[in-house]
Amino acid sequence: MKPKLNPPGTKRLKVKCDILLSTSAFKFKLRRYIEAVAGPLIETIRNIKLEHYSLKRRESDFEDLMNCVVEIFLRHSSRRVLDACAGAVHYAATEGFEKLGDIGDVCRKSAFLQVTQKVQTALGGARAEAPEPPLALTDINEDEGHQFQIRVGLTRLNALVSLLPAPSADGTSPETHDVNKDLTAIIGDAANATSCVGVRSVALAARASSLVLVHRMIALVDRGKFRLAEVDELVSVRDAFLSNAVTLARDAVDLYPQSRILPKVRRCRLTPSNPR
Amino acid sequence: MEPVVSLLLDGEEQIRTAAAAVIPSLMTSNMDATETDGAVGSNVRTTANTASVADGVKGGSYATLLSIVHIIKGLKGSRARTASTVDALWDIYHSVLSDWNLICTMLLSEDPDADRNPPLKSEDAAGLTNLLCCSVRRALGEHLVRAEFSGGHGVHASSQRPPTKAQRDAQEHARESFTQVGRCRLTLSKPTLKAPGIERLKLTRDDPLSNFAFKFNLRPCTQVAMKQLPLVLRRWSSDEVGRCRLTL
Repeated sequence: MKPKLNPPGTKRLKVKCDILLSTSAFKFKLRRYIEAVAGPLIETIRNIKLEHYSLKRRESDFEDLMNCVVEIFLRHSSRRVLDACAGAVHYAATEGFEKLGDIGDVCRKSAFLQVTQKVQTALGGARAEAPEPPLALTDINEDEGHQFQIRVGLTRLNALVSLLPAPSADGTSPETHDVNKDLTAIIGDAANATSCVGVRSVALAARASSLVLVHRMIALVDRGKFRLAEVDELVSVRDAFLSNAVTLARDAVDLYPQSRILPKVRRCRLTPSNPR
Repeated sequence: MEPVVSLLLDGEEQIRTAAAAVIPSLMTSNMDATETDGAVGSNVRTTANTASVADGVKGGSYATLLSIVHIIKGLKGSRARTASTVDALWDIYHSVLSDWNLICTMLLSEDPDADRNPPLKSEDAAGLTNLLCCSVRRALGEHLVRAEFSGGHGVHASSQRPPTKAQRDAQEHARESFTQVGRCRLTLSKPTLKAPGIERLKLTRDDPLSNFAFKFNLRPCTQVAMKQLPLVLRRWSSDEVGRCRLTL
């Protein structure tokens, strides 16, 4: 008697899997196109003259539009869509007068808050699931689960801080403080080889952290009046960031020995241009 | 048609302009050939048939827009290639490319049984939104192709197109705004000229005045965008179509 190669029901299961795979592939294709439509559409918002909304008393329309932009920002993760959404929010917050500017500011705060919360939640989950001893930065899979959520959240955060300061950049807002703390923790863990997130997330966190620091410094200088304690705090945060960044840069050179650009980058970034 | 179309991406501006000048006749001949074949099915053929019904009216603009989208798609249209193609075709198809109402109508159409404006495929919609983005930037006077790439080499390397009258008006108005701001600042910086005891007014908004009223080419864009953009965004981001793969 010929032995059965497959257990009963295998064929049916295979057909089901095929259908599932083809459906998900189709959906993936469809969604890719939707992203491709949303990005350029949102880019055109920067060419709208906002005065028209004020003159025609249609501020509510503008509010709807900006809410839609924030919704898309939190729904998609394509770089072009994220940059376009951040650009639209930046345009509204900086170019809008009075009520329109307020709407842009509310959208900015809302986007920052939601992104920060998502990163915090995912970071907590990643820490809880982190193996002992910790994996190397390059061995962590960043395309699944909490790792993936952290990476996408940090990409969104980067899109925002590339153009906009975090809410209350003077450090009084708990959300801003938290995002700074989280970013510093990610970079510090990576520098101490105890990281629970992958190499791309660490790079994104380093970039976001540097930009948050720059925004805070600019806000402090623009304000004119500041206490020495504020400056000291900012300088200490900056020093901690630089110390971790130097360690990471050194590790990166060891991690990618074939790279010819990394040693040059480290030299040009960390060596003062005028030693005197 | 393909060898000529690929010249729209050439480094030399003159070659791109010459290729663009040939495109209308090629599109017309392509439409005629399709009519002779009598074949229906692909989008290009559909557009050709639509164009033959009423060339120069809405149907013609619709067909032309779709043809341009397909040209860009044939060039494996990235952002830079779309920008280069729009820049090359701008002088010829300026009125079609700046028909924001029609573009938004095309993006909003959902009825599959509609004869005039059938719903676009997602690929075509993506191409059309890229086209819209580039044409809006071009309409506002932005250079889509950088000078070092537009001229190639020699004398043309640094050549820029002279500004149009509308652009000159906008520049002139900017100068006037600067003059006004400068006048205000001058008053503030010379307090000794003021009579003693008079309290100087403090400037709260000393930004340059808006010059939107002088940007005539901006008005239709903004008005259409105000009405149509939220609708189009909602149409292409609705849950019925599907959420992003990477949605969290």
